[in-house]
Amino acid sequence: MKSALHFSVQLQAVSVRCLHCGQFVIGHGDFCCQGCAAVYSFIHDHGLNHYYDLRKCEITPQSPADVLPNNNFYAYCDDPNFISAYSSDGLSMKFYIEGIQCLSCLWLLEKLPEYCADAVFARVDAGSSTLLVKRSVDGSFSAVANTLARLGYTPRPLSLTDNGESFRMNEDRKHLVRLGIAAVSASNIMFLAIANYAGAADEFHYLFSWLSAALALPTLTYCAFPIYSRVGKDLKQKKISLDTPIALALIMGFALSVFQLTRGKETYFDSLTTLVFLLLVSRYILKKAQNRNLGLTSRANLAFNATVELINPSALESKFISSLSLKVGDVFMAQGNDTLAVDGIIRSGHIDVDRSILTGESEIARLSPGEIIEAGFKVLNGSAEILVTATGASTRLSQTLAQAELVFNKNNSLTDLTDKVGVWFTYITLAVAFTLLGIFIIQGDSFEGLQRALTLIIVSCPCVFGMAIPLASSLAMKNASQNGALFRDSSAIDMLYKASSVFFDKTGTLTKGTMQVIRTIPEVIQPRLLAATYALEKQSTHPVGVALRNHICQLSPLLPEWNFVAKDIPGGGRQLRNDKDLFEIKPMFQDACLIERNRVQGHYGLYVNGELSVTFELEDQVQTDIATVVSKLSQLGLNSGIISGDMKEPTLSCARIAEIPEKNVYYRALPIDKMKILESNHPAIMVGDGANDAAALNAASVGIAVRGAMNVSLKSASIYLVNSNLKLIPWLIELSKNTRNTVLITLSFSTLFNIAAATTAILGHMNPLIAALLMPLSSFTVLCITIFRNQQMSTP
Amino acid sequence: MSIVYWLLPISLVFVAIFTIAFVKAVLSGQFDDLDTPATRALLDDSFQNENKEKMKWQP
Repeated sequence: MKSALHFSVQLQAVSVRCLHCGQFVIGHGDFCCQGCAAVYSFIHDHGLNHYYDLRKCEITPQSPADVLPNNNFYAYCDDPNFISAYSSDGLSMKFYIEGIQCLSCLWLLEKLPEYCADAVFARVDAGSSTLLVKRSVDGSFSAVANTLARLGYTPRPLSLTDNGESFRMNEDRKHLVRLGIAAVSASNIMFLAIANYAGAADEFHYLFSWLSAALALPTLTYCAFPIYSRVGKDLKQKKISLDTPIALALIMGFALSVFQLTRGKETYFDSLTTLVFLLLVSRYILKKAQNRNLGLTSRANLAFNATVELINPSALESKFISSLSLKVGDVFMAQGNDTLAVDGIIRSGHIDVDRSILTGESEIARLSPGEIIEAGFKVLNGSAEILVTATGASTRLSQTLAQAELVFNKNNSLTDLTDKVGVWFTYITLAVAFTLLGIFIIQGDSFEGLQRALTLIIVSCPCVFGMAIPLASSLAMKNASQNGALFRDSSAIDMLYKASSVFFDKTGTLTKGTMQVIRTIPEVIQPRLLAATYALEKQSTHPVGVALRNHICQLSPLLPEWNFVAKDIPGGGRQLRNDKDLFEIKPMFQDACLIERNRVQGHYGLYVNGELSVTFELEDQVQTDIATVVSKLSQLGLNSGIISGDMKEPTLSCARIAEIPEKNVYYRALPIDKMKILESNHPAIMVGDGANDAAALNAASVGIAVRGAMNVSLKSASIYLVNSNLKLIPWLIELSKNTRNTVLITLSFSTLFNIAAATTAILGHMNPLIAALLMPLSSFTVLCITIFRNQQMSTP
Repeated sequence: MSIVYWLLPISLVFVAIFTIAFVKAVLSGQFDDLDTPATRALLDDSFQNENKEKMKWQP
């Protein structure tokens, strides 16, 4: 948690930090945005200023959404259908909170009942970034969510089934109980065994042996139960798993020991309980390491909850419900700022939608009646009545994601290989053990045969094969997340080192993405032209458009609204036609770009009927140290390139600053081109914006998202950089290489170890207790090697 | 050596007590979240006292 807070910020000569989030303020004032100002005043008004004293982090990475949600935004939380799916008792609900950082957030969130009358209890779990809230009997969840939003957090309710959190917690507790009981019996039996080995008199030998049997019983039944049940399931499907020899050894050993017990001879309860205990320990460690990342996968799958207005023809009046409760055939009203959760057809009205999550095109589409909308579309403007055609898992988005998951599971070739090797190893071990037993039975020494077979099965158990890869990749993912890179799943770890090139998107990735108008010619612009520029860029999401719009809003906040619709010019820019004139905003190619230290400057012109009327000079700073990142990447043997939808000149000048060779620079690339370029350079890494470059990120063998909301980005990209810190990329590649080497080392070690130990056991130089100690020892060695090598990884 | 017959039952009682205590601790959720309590301890006492009543509520 701690390391995600560390930011390196380039100090600027004249700079004011935002009073709330600590980011540098662009322009004037104490705050960087409206959202921060609102949050600051909320915190101030409720006497919660202590929050700012507690805060250790310089900057809160998540600055609140610029537009605070309206009062209705979280109304879906009060829909009875929603509550039954998201709350076990109707009173408590768990929220995933993006951006729980340090003590200050903990303090602020747990104080919730003091300033939100609807909540009576709030508890943070920092490990999983969740907040458990209990509402008062007459309180509402929507009010709680609204308060959280006003504090600058983005509350996302966690459903009971979706993330399986409570199920996992239950499993974890059971595992720990089993572990404890196994520890008790193994350690006590060990003491009794010491007495017996030391030569306890007959009377005591007998007593101690029976006592050991009694102590071993819960371990061999209750604690080892998961092993038996898994093997049983596999046997039903006529499969053999890595656990089969263990289950066999436990049953065989137990039978043999009971037989020996009745004859008053040496028993194997000590070996068997130690085996179970050590197995449970190594599995617990593995599970703990993996659980952290399971959480992330579920975070990426957070549903698009939204409030929608249901206007079924049968119903007399409309009502607000959760988008989850929509059924096929319902009609609802889609409005600005909604992310749609269902597929449907527009019945009436027009909406402007951002389809980037599905298509990767940042272009805004205007949809009319009869056209199809899909889950994942974001409504920007307008409102429309929509007839629902598919919900939940049958939406196209869900199906696409399900397919992507299938591909991911197939991708991990190394895991497949070790699984196969492990199963073969099991077959060979079992075959050798039974042959050995057969030979000794023929020779008439069936006891020796049983003992050797048991030893062999215990010592050569190939559990390590199932453990090495998940362990190494989950430790690497944990390491990465502490440094600000979140992985969607482990397949990316396996893919990163294979990549031969890295492609960056330009705007917002290589550059800071905040364009600013620094000069206009002429300095004073006619109101008519201002209004035209505003109308042209009103719906633009391109950084240039946003910069122009902001600039004009600052100059004169009150402008006559124009209702003429602007559209994109195929070669770049936008145009608009009013009653008499044609207005265009285009990049000016002749002098398009100048490089000045780390700045990319662009000149854009407003043309009226083809005649240049106003020149806007914009600049966007290139991220610092890009050249270092590129040179580090080339040291690692990777080519760097740029794929940008932008014009030639700004892209090239950016490439010059970043020291990226011109042959790897692709400009004016449409999303489809980006995908083609990535395919022809396979395997390649794509670094870009989570929402706008979704298609390219998905097409690359590894997609790294540097901006955009985390849960949306992680749908298209497999890695999300929390702090947009590009310096992490070379480090991530090194991490991936290191992880792969770790896996190779541990696998070869355990193979050699198993062969050596198995040979000793076959020759009869080992007894079952030593085998039970040695087998987990190899798992522990693997664990130690993996942890050690992961810690050796330098921090970025 | 007859002392063994005394010691064994006593030690088994101890074993039982500790095992039951451990199992109870696990099942009551003491080991579920190992991160937050460590951080929460750093908050000043006034915060702790104010919230003591509310903290008692278990999900």
